[in-house]
Amino acid sequence: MNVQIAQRLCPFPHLNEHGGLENGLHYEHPRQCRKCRGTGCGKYLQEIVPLGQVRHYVCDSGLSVFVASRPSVHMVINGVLDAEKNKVCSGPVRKSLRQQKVCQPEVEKWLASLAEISEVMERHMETRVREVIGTLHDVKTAVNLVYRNAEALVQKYPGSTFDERVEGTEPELKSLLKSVGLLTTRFITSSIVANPESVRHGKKRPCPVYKVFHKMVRLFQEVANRKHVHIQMSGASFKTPQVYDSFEALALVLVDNAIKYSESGQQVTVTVDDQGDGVYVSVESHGHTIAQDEQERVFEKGYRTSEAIRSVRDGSGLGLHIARLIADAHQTKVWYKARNVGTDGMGTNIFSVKIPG
Amino acid sequence: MATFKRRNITDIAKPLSLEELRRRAKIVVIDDDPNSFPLDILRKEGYSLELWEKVESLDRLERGDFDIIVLDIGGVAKDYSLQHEDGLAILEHLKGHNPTQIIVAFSGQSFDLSKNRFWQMADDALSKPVDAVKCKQVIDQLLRERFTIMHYWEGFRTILQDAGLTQRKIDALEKSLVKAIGRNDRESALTLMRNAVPALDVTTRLGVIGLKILALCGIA
Repeated sequence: MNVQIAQRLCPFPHLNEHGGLENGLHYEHPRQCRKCRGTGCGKYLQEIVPLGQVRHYVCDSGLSVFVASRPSVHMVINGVLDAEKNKVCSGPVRKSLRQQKVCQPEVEKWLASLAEISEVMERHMETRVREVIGTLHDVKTAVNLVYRNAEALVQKYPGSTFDERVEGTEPELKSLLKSVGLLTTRFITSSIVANPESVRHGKKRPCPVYKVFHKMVRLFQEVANRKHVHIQMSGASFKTPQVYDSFEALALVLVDNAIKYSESGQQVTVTVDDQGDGVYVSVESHGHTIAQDEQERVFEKGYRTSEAIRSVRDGSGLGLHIARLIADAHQTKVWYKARNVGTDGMGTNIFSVKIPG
Repeated sequence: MATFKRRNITDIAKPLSLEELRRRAKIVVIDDDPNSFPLDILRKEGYSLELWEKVESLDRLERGDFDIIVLDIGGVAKDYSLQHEDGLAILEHLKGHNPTQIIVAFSGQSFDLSKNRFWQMADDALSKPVDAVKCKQVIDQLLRERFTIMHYWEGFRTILQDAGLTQRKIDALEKSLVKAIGRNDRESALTLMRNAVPALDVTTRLGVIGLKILALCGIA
């Protein structure tokens, strides 16, 4: 259960994670809190309380504050009065708070009920996830069939090996194979979201980095054309660093994002170059740059900048998070840099990664 | 004065080409969906492949009849009264029996957190759906890196060490084995390997790996 759900289920007045006042389902903030706007009890958001416990404090205005904690939930309940524990509260204030009386066992009971609700929700989520996984498994089985049928068609072409035959096939069949390949890489990205450990599945193997990015560029050519974005490769790389199979998903995310967030009529350049101790990749595009304070956050799961939400409605905020997970598995990092930023925030976006080896 | 370098087991196997490795290594794909693996293409390219839609014989797997086992996770060992995700139980059983057995995890359930052990325990992984190029890449890498006398001799030595044999005894055994293999005396070599440790369960495991070593030395 996340903190937002806990806040919505809270019967008592409390602070949200930014320190703002939120009324509870049954109790509202008293006049004293509305006047002070939570400035006196904001410090309790940082108070560390053992998981599953509730602690009582008294704020500067003499009101009771409870800090309650459970996994992923840290709640500051304020604007109430625990008549038993709070001896500081003066007579007139105490009288004005007669509607706000909440004792610690009540808060503890609520915290325990949160744990029960959380358990029910998790069981429910697990059932739903299993259903989705079952469906996804069926989709994968269907894609297997597409592969086998496409491969059977390839077998009709001349050549001593499968790879040779693929080279000699019609462009349409090549496109079909590439499209199914893209679908397979999309499955890898979905797997990483559901199971981050899957970035490390299998053994590392030598990877022609230039070839992988070039393949992605060709796969996204059609999408780029539709958006009037010109996409090109540059650089020279002959190294084949050891990478996991998930690495291809990193190339997908960076190329896909560059086209998705590029301004129409602009250029996307993918550069792959060998460096002393690895292969350096950068993906440059032109469009809205990312503000300084958001440059780290774009790698967080589900985070999208307001500009990204405005320009591309159907994004999930998962791409760069996936890219970071893959980079982590390869003991490297994806860097972001903005260049030539104008007063309107437009400029060059550069995402780069160095693959060791 | 001429000096003679002592020959080790790993020196006597002739290096094999990839084509020869593909031909020699016996591979079984265990999957209830016969369309999930590009069998025809790989067979045409010289791989020695068999398809089982379920575990047809645990004995054959334990005996090391296959050099590489490509194993799905679900519904492959219904006859062995294991739990539903029986591929993992089979993998654990085979690895416990013979740590040198090469097993490829082959499943579409890479997104399932509860199956991570299956992927981690395997020697390599193929996540479904998969194309012929990827299958060849994974199997070829295993053939080059694992289907080697070095891999099996390391496994053999580990069993001997775990059984308490001293380094001196292991070296002496290796010396006798090199001689027997040099004479093309398969029976003596196999007897030496099987009898290296008297315990019966160890003898069976040593025999399974011993046969692989002899095959790679060309006297199977």
